[in-house]
Amino acid sequence: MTIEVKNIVKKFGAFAALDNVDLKVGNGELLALLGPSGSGKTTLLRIIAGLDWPDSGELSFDGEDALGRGASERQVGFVFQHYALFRHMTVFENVAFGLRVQPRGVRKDEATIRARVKELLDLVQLDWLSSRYPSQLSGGQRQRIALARALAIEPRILLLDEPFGALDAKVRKELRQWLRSLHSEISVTTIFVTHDQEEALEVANRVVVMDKGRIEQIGTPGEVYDSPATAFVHGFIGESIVLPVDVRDGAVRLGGSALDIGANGAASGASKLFVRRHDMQIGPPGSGALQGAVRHVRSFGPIQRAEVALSAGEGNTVIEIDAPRDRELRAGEMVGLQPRRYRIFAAQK
Amino acid sequence: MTIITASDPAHLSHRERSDRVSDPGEGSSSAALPVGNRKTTVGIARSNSRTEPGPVRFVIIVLALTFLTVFVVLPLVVVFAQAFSKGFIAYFAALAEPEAWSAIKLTLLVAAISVGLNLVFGVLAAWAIAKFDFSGKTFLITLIDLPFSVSPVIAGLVFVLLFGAQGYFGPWLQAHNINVLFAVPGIVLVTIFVTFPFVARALIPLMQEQGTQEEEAAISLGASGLQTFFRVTLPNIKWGLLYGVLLCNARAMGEFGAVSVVSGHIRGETNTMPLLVEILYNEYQFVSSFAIASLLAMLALITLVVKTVLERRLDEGQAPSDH
Amino acid sequence: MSVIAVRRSNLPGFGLTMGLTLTWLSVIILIPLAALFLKTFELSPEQFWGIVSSRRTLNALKISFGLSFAAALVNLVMGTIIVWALVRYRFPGRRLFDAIVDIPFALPTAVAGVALTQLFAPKGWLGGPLAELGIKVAFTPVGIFVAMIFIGIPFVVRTVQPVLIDLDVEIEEAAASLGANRWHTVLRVILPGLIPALLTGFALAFARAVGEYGSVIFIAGNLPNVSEIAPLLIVIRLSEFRYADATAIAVVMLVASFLIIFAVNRLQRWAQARIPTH
Repeated sequence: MTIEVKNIVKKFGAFAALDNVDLKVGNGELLALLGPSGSGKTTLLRIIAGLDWPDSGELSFDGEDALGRGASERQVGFVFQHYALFRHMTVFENVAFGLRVQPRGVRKDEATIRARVKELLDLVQLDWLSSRYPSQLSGGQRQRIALARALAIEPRILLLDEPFGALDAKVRKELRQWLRSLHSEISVTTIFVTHDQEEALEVANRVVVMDKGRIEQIGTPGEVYDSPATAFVHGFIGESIVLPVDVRDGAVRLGGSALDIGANGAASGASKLFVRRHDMQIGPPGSGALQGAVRHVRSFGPIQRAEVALSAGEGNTVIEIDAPRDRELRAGEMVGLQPRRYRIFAAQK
Repeated sequence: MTIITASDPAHLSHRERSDRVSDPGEGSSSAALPVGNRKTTVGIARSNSRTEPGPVRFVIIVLALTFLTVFVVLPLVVVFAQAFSKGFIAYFAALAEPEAWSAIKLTLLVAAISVGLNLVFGVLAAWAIAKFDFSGKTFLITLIDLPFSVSPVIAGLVFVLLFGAQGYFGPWLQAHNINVLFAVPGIVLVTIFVTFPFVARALIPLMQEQGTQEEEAAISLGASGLQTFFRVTLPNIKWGLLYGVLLCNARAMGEFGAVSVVSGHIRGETNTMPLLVEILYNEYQFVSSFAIASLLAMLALITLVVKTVLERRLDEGQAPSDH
Repeated sequence: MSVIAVRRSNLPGFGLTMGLTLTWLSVIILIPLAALFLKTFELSPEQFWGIVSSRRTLNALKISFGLSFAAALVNLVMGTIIVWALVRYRFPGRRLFDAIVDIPFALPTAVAGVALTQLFAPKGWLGGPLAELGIKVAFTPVGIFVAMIFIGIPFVVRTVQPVLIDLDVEIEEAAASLGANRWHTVLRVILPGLIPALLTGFALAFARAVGEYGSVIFIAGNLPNVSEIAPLLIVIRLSEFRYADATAIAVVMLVASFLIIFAVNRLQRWAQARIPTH
């Protein structure tokens, strides 16, 4: 099933939750909607599910208009952030719900329903919990039951709202891998919403980065991490060093002095220089585009993280750099810094 | 010798207070142990920060219990004492009177109709108010609450103004030979008026707290609106609904002022149980009057017991939710 | 209802349930209450004033409002003491007495009326001893006062109880650790936190007593100008077919109770604004 979102606008009062959003999702994709809270990602998901309606715009599934159909007719599996399990039903009845409410004629007989529910519980590896109530389950178990319930209706699209948001870190990691392998097993077009970049990069085939109701970038995890399209994406994904610079006639200036790096076609004016922490190469004093004094070093694992006070321009700018441990840095040492890879974006007001 | 004072922080933070029964005879030292702050100090009478001195506690408890006994317990006891003052036979004979029977039947009929209608209305109103956002919601809730703050006599009066012989619809009703006032429909109408808020008020906060997620999940799984209500919403609100119906019923059966104004006191026809209590009392038929009153008092007691049970259920139902 | 602007929602049934709710509300509550005000407008202001300021009406209103106020004050004080005992102390029968507080809510007013009358009548269990002391309760204004106290108790107790239970115990300990004695702690730390609830309970008890009919009329004596409450006067005027008189008195009472609801709503909002979010 392919999904096409065209020019969707959704306002809550004066606040634009979605501001002219366009998105195409291919068949069988595993797509992440990534953004900070308030970026509109959950609203977009709810609109696709039919739990909300846009003020304007189009939505189609396989080329067919979907907005004319209510949530119950879209055959979309939705997994809620807090799971929304029916608290008065057993796990079994929760999963069976979507099959039991089908109109007469379509509805399968009891034996088929039972077999199907069993199959789904096996799929999520929780068959042994079928007679429990939701309140007796752990967070991770609830999550998987919610997923089994959503899969029961043989959804054409699977939507997950912050699927791991309410879980602790360890369970979260396990469930990520599990979701990936589940997706490759059932290969249903799947969209999940998350504010956790690591989760998006690790699980999804493609990532949609959103901010303030707009899509900032769509790309593979590699693309959004390595070639961020906007300052927001660069700042939101991965940890970056951000320096206020001034671009004039192809030269980049920090504070008063010019840096020995190219503007890479950035327009003149106040700008921001983005460098990944590990893309800042450390050399002897005098080398590189920036000079600084190491103030503090912490070493762990394969890297050492150094706080460096820059001497150029605004001298009290302190940046954090991740360097390999081939040469141990010491506090007080002077170093030269050269960005290996960097991007310059016009500064926004 | 130093004495170890074990002040357990877990205990301090716990809301449960010491189960120590305040015994006035025990005086200051142990009875006045700080509530919830169980210092195991031996031999030192500590002044404590979290409760009052023993004698003060004693006076407060005695005052509270005396007041409740005089103003609440004794009137209740009087009802039964008077009802049985001439023995069981007189009591049951009073209840077996045809007049008593017709009052009981009328009361049950009126309660059944008005509770039934208010049940349906209460659920509809609670659905609209609790599950959707719209402006003017607070105002609408205030309107639904209105009957609670209208004197029962005024509730009766407004229906007299509408349906009485000189009322707005009176002449039309007379021309069509429909009796509302001084007949069962009038009694039902005022009873609906005075019991109007009970079910809706019991459900609205409960349904608001439960949110709409489970309903949304049901809809996204293909359920229709009615399926969603009956399979998902109703099981979640059943105790709250029962709670509302219980209180609604108690008031419906016991309503006096409003019904008194519209009933016309036609013996054997438009007398409900509370009205019959009044009539018999004014005729100095105390045993009969209190016999009927004892039935209503029993209804009140049963209502209270069931209410306590339901309140516990409701508390339990809310506790394990993980939202 | 122009106040209602619908936001499109995902769940079905808003239009239907809201429509039925408004219809039912209008038929049962709004139209009948409107009839009351419509009837009042048939009177000229002079007529209205004439009825309301007549000696008997004025006395009935004074008795209803005055005694209700006094009874609500008693409920305020005794209700606080009862709540304190129920929440803060453990004693045998505490749960039972906690449940008993609700009896005035649950007991039909006519039953309460005859029972209180019997109890406080000159030959009653309490009326007898009191009569020997020269105190007459039943069939005097004191009787009205007693009945109003009876019906008002649960309002104060049930409004204040949850607030006292939820009161943060740490503030008491903080006060004590800062050197306050118990009396100061109660007076300066605990009571101020209870004031909105106390005032709400007082207002609710007051409003209920003003409108009360069933539990009062048996014990009242119902002597015009002495022990005749306003709701009874409405009933009497109705039985005399003096609808205009009944309506005018009712409007005065209704407006008064609307003002009380308004005050209670403001109190609730004030209370919510004062309590920091937990």
